[in-house]
Amino acid sequence: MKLLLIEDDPMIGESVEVGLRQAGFTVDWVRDGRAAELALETGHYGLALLDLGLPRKDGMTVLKGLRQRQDSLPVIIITARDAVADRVAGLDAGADDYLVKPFDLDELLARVRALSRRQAGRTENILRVGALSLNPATREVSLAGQPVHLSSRELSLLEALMHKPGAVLSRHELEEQLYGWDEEVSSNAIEVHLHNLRRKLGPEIIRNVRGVGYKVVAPDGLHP
Amino acid sequence: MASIRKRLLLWQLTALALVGIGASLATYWLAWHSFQQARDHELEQIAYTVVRHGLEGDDDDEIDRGQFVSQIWDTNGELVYSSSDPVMPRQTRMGLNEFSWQGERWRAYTLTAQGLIIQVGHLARAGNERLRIVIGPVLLPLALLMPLLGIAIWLTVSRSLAPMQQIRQELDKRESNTLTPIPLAELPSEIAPMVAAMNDLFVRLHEAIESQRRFVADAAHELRTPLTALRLQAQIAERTADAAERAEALARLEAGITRAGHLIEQLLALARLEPESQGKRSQAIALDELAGHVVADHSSQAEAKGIDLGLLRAEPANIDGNPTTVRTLLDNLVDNAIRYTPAGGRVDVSVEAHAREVLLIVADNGPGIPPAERDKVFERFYRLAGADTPGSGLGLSIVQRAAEQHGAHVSLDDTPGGGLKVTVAFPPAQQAG
Repeated sequence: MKLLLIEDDPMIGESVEVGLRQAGFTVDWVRDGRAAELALETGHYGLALLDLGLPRKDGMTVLKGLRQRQDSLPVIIITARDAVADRVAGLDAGADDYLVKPFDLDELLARVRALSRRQAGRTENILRVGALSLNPATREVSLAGQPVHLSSRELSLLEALMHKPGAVLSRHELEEQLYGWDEEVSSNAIEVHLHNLRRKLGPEIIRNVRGVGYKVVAPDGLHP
Repeated sequence: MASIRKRLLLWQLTALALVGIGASLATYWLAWHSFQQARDHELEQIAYTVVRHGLEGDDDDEIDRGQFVSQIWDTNGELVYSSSDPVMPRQTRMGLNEFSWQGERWRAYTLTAQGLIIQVGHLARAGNERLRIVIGPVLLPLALLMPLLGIAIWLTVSRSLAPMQQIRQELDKRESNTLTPIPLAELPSEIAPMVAAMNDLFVRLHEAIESQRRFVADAAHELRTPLTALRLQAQIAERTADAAERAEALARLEAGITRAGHLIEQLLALARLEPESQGKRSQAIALDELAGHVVADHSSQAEAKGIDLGLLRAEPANIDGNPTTVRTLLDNLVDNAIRYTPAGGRVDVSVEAHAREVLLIVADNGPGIPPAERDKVFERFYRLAGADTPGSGLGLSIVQRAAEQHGAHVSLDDTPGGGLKVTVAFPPAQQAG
């Protein structure tokens, strides 16, 4: 999943970015309110982490603008403003969660997972399609109970496809999900990762919908 | 305890008692005196009556029926008549006399007329007894008036001091942080100015407490940011398996610690500049020498960043002030310049002695501060947008505060290269040396 990190402090931004990347998320990091608005309007993000005290445009203004555009993107506010009134104002302005600095990286990751799960309408944290299951918290994949070892990119690609089972994602959409701004994407990167996934999980598991994109289907004959 | 109420009551009631006693005594004395005079006059009248009419007739009886004693002698000293036995001794001095006879004090009037010596006397205390009967009603109103006046004074004093009592009760009820003014309406004109002065103090106190509270809140808020960074960096270092990445994470962690330390140092520097913590001691400071020391002390920091730091001009100039504070000011200016000037830049420090002012100038060829933001940068914790260098946001606040304490003025300008030029204009020292 691709996240937008909106944080002006270079040290915190850097650490959160590294932490999120290590947890398998793709991260775009912007450092002020205007850049955040631009990114929100153009990029496709699964979730945004929003600091409130931002230069150029305050975080609350950014959030209100987002909700005025009827954008339902999940937003977690990460801020040092800990007063109850601030929390209430933040949540009422349309934030889905509110995390006060200094926060724990694990807690931030758990909240990100919880929000994306709720967003997808799932009750369980583990993604399942047939006998295939993926645990976003532990980054473990198993097929019919047998663990499967995947690279970080392969796992992110599978996670993107399993996020909404049956939904077809275009190659462009998959690229967006997997790569941040600053990353070079070779033209056939997605195909290479898909090829590897098919090799490890079986050829039937990822279907190509010709001219549209890809989707995950329950592997035939592996139904319990 | 110095109680106004007690003092007022003590003095007024004492004065009242003294006046009361004095008035009573005076009345008593005057009454007694006039009584005595009247009686003496009576004696004299009786004596003359005897001369004019002799002792015959009703008059004699009337005289003798009273407490009067009368005698008549001839010029040879032979007793002609006495109303009493034994005979009251004849007084040799004519006129009014007082003397002892038969264990009592007597008053008598003696005169010589028509070859006779006539003496009329009476008991001295007889007058006193009659006075005693009269004096009661005379002194009674005064005796009644005293306690009444006392009560009236007591009530007036209590009433007059009631507003003070009321203010005390109101202050007693207050929480320590309630500094709202006391209403002045209905207060007597003697107390109102004092309460108004107290209200003024409340306002100043409230502002001071508010500013302290804001500072603490701001400081706590600002400390959260480096703490958050430290926590995240520590967690990332902990969970990174790759040695190189781990080393990088640890390096970031260390930078975070340095940054948090810097922020704490700056907060302390600012707290030390609070007016109440300032000693009044002021001494002559050679600003040119101090600038040289500061430049030398920051030289390794500048070298590490590849910045050419130097003392451009150092004209001998003295200012009056607190050396520690001026040092803090200079440290912050130079540190700021090095911090925000990119590697390979240049920072110049100058001291210029003018007739009316001493200028301290720190100029760099860094990114400068946009004119629109030049007022805001003096606010606490204000940072320029897009600054990659994590500063405390306190440097210029410290400079401003330190300058204010020395009657100096801080101005921000562009340098020809687009960098920042900070000028601090100090008043020169009163005395050279």
